Amino acid sequence: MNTPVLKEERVDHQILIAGLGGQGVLFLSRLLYAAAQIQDRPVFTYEIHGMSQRGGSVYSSLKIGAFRSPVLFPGSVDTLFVLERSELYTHLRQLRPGGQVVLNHPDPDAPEVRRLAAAGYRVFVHDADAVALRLGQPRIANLVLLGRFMDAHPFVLTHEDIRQALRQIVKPALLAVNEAAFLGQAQGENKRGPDGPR
Amino acid sequence: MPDQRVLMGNEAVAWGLATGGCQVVTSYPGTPSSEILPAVLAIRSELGAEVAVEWSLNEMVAFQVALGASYAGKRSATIMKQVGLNVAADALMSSAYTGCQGGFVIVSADDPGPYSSQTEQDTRAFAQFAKVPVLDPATPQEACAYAKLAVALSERFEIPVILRPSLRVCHARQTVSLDTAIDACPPAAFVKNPNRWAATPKYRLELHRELNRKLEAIRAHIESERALTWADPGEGARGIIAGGVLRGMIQDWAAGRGLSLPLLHLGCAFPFPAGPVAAFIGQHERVLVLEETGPVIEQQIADRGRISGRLDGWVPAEGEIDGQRLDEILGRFLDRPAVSITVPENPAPAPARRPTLCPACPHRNSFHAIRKALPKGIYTGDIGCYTLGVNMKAVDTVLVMGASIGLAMGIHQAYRQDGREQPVVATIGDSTFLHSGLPQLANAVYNDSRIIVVILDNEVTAMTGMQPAVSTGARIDGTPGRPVRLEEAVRGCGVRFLEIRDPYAMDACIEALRAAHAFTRQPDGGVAVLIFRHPCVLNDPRGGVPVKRPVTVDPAACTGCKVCMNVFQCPAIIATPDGKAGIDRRICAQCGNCIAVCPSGAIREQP
Repeated sequence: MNTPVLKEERVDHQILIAGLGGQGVLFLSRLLYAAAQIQDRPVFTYEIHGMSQRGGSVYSSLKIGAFRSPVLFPGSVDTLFVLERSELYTHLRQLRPGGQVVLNHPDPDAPEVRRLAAAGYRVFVHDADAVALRLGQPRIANLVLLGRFMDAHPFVLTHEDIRQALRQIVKPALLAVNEAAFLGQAQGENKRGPDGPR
Repeated sequence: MPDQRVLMGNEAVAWGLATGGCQVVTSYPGTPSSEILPAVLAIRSELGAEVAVEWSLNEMVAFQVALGASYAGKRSATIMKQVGLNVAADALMSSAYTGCQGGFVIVSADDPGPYSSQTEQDTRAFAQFAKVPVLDPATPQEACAYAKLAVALSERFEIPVILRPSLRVCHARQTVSLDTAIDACPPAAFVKNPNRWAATPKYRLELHRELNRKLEAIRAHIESERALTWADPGEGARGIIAGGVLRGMIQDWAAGRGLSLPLLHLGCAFPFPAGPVAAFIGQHERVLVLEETGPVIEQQIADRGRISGRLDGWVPAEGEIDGQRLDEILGRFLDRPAVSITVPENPAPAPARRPTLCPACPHRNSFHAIRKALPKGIYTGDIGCYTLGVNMKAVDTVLVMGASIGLAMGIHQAYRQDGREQPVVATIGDSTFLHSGLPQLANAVYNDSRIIVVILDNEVTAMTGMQPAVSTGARIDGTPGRPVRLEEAVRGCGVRFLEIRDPYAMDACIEALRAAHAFTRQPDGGVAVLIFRHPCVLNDPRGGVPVKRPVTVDPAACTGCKVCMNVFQCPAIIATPDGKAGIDRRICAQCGNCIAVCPSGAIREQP
């Protein structure tokens, strides 16, 4: 069930999602704002189109609450999702002191991860690419990362919001794969070849 | 019945146009405007609105079709990006004089940055030059309201009205309250009046006088229209005048710091609401003008004594004002230094991620073939995904739509002046060729320019989001259109050398390029045209890759020459720690095109 959120608890939340073209940055952004809509909260997002989509750096901003612009200011972001770790530093200045980094990275003890923690940020690290590749579904790394992060930490949106949003925006044929990736139910499954569902 | 939903700015514009009663809507795609016309179509289906929509061949055609509908009494709109308005400029300038009958809105989307354009020109300055009103929304919600308002303003004053949403309105999404009631559109009734619709220069002077009278009336209207011009008194002696997206950014910045700033919002920068501006300036010691991209508001302020902005260097004279820049500018203006943020240094700076052709993109093969066949060529390029051939050193010039052929002729002639025959290869996409390559090609035939034109036909307008190609006949609403066949158009221009190849057969392309070059050198030769045809891999329902050929790299055979990475430039080929080639299976599309490219045969099909 959707956990009712009291008005007083509804603090504004600013999110930045960074990655490369083809990694599903825009999909993740759409999913999160659809989930915010399910909570009946106003959203303001911004995304990159056109030439940048062709393998270049892509990012999307998502502001939940009463905002008048989608633009993020330095030190304003509450949660920074990084799907491609080399894009991390490009966006770090946008994160507020003590903000949350959700990082797709193979090594939770890597020096850069330790540096982030030492600088006072909250850091969640998961090797979502490896999981997604093992499933033969490189493009679901975004949902794997989101799912494992939400399993471990409180977030402005609930699992049920996300599941409902998935049902709204994902084609029925792909829903099971996407839900499994988000819920972590796919991880224990046997290796699937490249001919598995896409 | 108001309706709340998350709308992209471009969708919001479409809602404003459709509910404003526009019945003929035309467009040529271009980032950041491309999603508006499809949104009009979606609204047509949702509301059962009587709207004709078309992708026109170019912006000039789109402009004329929509203006013609307005001459005949219908409400209409035409949609393009800012550089598209350059293409339609001739019609725009003249239409300000003739005026219109039904409400006529020109949507011209600006790209401060620029992110996907050749220039960061300001449509508001264009509107001022053409002498037509221009509305500048700050948010998707406002874009919807302004689009509807523009229709009404145009019809009331019988003047074309420009709506200028900029990138961060077009591609933002906001929870918008929507009114889905559609205003009635007048019936078609063209009233013959040659002194207006076909005015000779003598009557043009009278039309100009009338235009100036209209603009004065509109100025008064705008000064008192609360949706377009409003002031928030705020607190303090330093005030800000803002237009467009910057207004919303300033409000968010101030709210984040618990400040209430004196703010004058100008939703219309031309005609200029001089009265409210003078009043606001009179109430403050200093005033900062923030607008994108040109100093259009600033230049219209008569007494500049208290004003700072782009003209005195307070605000950079070029580029988008992003969050960081605005933070710095406002902090400086209000004597509130930005909170310093120290972040961990990046120990190994990331490689600059430039946009690149997709894995399996047929254009990559075409460019590779061109460089192989004519290594001493000069390569003039054009506007589309294939502009990215510049990464492969196969595109030496990019100017405007169609200029690959135009510049090629000039470059070729320059060498001819010195008695030399320089091979020049123009590359142009299917949609761009029909947009503005045809007159150029006809010119090459007529004036005997010995250039090679390669039409990169991926059967879709890919860069701007897969709009259907004229050459396939598909239309936006799914109805079958009559295709304009590239080969027929080329032959119709009088071209005598035309070959069609699939770039997935790279050797055949190289051979055809050599034959084309030979034809340009024959005494009775001429311009040679090649069509390299293969569907866009992102758009093809069959996946674009006809036969999947997964590859591996034999590390023993790989010499680390990096031809696959640096020359062929497939993003799915990455350097391994020992400097050899590796396959990034996350993005490899299994086209196998790299197999033929490796000089040492190290890239092989997976058994």
